[in-house]
Amino acid sequence: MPETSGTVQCVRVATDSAFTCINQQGATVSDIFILWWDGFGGPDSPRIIQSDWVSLLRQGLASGIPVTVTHDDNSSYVLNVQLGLDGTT
Amino acid sequence: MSNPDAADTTGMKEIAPWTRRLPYLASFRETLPRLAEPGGPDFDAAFARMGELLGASATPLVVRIQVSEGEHVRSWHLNSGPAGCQVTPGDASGVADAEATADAQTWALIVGGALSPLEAFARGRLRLRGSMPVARNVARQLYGQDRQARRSDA
Repeated sequence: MPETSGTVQCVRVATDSAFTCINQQGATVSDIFILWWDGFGGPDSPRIIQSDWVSLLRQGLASGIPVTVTHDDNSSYVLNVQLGLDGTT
Repeated sequence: MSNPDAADTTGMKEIAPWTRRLPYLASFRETLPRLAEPGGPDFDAAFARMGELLGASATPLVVRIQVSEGEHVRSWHLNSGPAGCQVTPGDASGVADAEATADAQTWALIVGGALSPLEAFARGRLRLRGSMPVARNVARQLYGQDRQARRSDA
């Protein structure tokens, strides 16, 4: 499953949706990911997990620690969030 | 929606009204002008038409379109500069200011004017990467020139 690693540029949370932008290492532009967007048939992740994703991304944004998000091919919906690179946390 | 490929949007809620307040997302709420016939489009011709609509840009910019067909990915680069826009098929390497990736079926709907880029993104059928100000400028040029063309046709 595709993964994207980099630093968090922003986290935006609204009533029915949330997004994050991640800059891959060395890249000057961001990948845009959807954490959730109610009503569009994205992955049905429990709210508590989505809340955990926001916490991890917020920590990554504040600290500059890299994050890794997992997603499907051609999809911007996040399936997993990891804070820190493998073996560093 | 008239296109049978897009029939599964039935029951899907409308794009959230608050997206109007997001300048970058809102730029892609509308469907693109029809660049090809839906179904089995000629992507070379469709993206060449997209390049014509994009036209010249005072600040050079590169947009990469990626069409995935199983394991195979086809890429087109839209290089817009003061002299106009050149569209070239290529690989996924090189620097792009903005990049959009989707499968062939999704691109067929988008260039056929049956699915807006924002809706494709919201449904998890389109990945976006790049400078959002550049993406907004691209949208302005694509949609703005289409409106001008429709006025001149009338």
